[in-house]
Amino acid sequence: MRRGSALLLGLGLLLAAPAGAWPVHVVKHLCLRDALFMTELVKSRSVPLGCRVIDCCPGCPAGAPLDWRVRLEGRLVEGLSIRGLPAAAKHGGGATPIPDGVVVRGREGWLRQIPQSPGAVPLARLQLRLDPKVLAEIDAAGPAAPTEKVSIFVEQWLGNVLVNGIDFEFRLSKCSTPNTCDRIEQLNKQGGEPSAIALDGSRLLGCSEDVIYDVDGVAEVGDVRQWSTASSCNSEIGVYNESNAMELIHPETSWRNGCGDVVQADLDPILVAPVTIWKMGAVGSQVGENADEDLAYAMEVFRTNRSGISFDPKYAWGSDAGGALTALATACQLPFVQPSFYDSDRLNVYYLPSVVSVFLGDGFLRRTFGSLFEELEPTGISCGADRNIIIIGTDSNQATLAHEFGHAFSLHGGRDEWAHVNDLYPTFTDENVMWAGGPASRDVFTLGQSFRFNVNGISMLNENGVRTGQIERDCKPKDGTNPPNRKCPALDMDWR
Amino acid sequence: MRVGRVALLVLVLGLAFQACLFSGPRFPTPDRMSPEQKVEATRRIVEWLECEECIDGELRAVLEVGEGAVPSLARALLDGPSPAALALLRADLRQRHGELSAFARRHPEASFDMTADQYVEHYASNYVALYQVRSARGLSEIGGPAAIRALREALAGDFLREDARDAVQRALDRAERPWWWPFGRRSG
Repeated sequence: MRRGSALLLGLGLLLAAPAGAWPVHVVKHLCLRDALFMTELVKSRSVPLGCRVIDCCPGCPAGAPLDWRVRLEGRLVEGLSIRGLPAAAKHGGGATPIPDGVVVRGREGWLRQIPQSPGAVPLARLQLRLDPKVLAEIDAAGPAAPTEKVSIFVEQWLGNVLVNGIDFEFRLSKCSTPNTCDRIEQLNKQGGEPSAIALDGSRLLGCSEDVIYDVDGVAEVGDVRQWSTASSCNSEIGVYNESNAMELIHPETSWRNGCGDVVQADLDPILVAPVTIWKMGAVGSQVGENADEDLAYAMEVFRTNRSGISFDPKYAWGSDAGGALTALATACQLPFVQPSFYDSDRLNVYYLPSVVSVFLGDGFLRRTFGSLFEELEPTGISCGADRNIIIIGTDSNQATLAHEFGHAFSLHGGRDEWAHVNDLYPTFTDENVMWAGGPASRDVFTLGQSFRFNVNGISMLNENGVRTGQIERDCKPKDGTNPPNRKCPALDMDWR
Repeated sequence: MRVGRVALLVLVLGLAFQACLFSGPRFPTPDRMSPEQKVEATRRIVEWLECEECIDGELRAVLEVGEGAVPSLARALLDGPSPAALALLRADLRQRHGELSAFARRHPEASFDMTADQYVEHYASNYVALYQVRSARGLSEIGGPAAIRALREALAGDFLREDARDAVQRALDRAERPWWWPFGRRSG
């Protein structure tokens, strides 16, 4: 079985094709009446002047002046100010110089021949200017106001080659207004942050699926109709917050026709996954010196994304005794070779004294078809043969451990099931922790991912007995998208 | 005798399978690349340099760029990430350190000791090492005199961390294997 899994991973290596976004996308969903709305939308964002790679592109004259092309989309946008860049030789389109920078009005502007100089890299500060008339118009439109999209594209060109780029996209919708009738109350809620409550239920006009309420206490959910086993609608409540375990109630049978129903979601304490951090080096050495910081990062992103998961670490020193490092590198066979460096029913994270070099293929096949089952040099890896094993190398980034925990909590498997989100849906961006690489600042999990961490039977939360007596399902990464699957929200289902 | 024949058959099949998988570069040399090909080549190189597990064919995608990728990989090996990428990373790390410090104050179970400067420098150094390790690996798989020259130049310098130096040495060993060596070349 273990060999089979390892082989499956090896085949995934051969068959999957790379994909990714270029330039980088940043997507934010904002609610129009939020206090967040104005601050998020108009706060300045930094973009460094310069190429994405050191030589800009194959055959490019690196260090030459760059042109910036700025495009703006969305009727809410009046313009964009850019500060902090060296002066451009020329401006075009809607770009005009102002005393401390440039302002772009209209849909597009060019800043030509911006000099690059050795030394400190200028970080341009971008600030949107919103059209107050359109803003008032949207506010006056009431709940029927359509979702507005605002996009900023910043492209850096060296001659006719795009050498760096980023786009920011904001999707703005009206905030849900309390719909008094039936309600959901949260009991034993910890922390002061709002919960996301996802509701499936029967309504007067048919089934409603995955309606999200972002609430501190009581969710006013309108009229949810009586449900029976014969109903074609799903009746389910999911509650997600930073400081409690994710609560899934299914089926919820207490709704009655008419107003006044109150459903109580009794929340459990946050799930705490036990982790042993193995520092595979001499006692007191610098091996794994970033383990605390990696774990703090993981704790923060799992909590702030309302996964209902935290971690309880235990630290231990390991060594190469008995060939432990080789066993880790050979299809993650460590538990068989050196059981004293392995804790059952816990996540075992191994910090190596080197970069990771592992073989994912089966031993016999690797020996026979060596080039097909070549070693990988990942920053970190979650072993498919035993997802309680995570290996972290010395060239890892701050998000590597959180990413590997995501694999351990069921976003893992064979070819299509690795659940790297790059190629799955266009709605994912490289801000997602499960992006296959990219910026170390990845810090987003969707509701669909948090759901799977908890509810998928193969999540190590369930397999290790951290989450017990709860509903378990088998939601593949692509389940819930096409066709919709009431038992599994789409992986890219977001918090709004 | 029979065992020998089976071994020979397995070896031949392995080489044939390998040949089927890697059909050679699909990009021209840099001076003949179109602007679109240059952008695509750069995108592939960045994805390879920055991938986490690298199981999604990132290395194979760079091998398709072939020798056109060698100058970029050599620069990445010798000079690291671009100043713009490093500047953005440092700014992100500094901001994240502030957020994590605040988080650790609210959640004592999160142990978090590094100062902002230590935090930024630690992960920035890892980022540079990652570029060195990955570019070396890419160069070793593409092979050729320019790739080997870059690997040797890197090892002759004193800018590599020990972990990166080990990886670059492995890459050079791999690049210098004879062309008929059936194990350990052309992966991804």
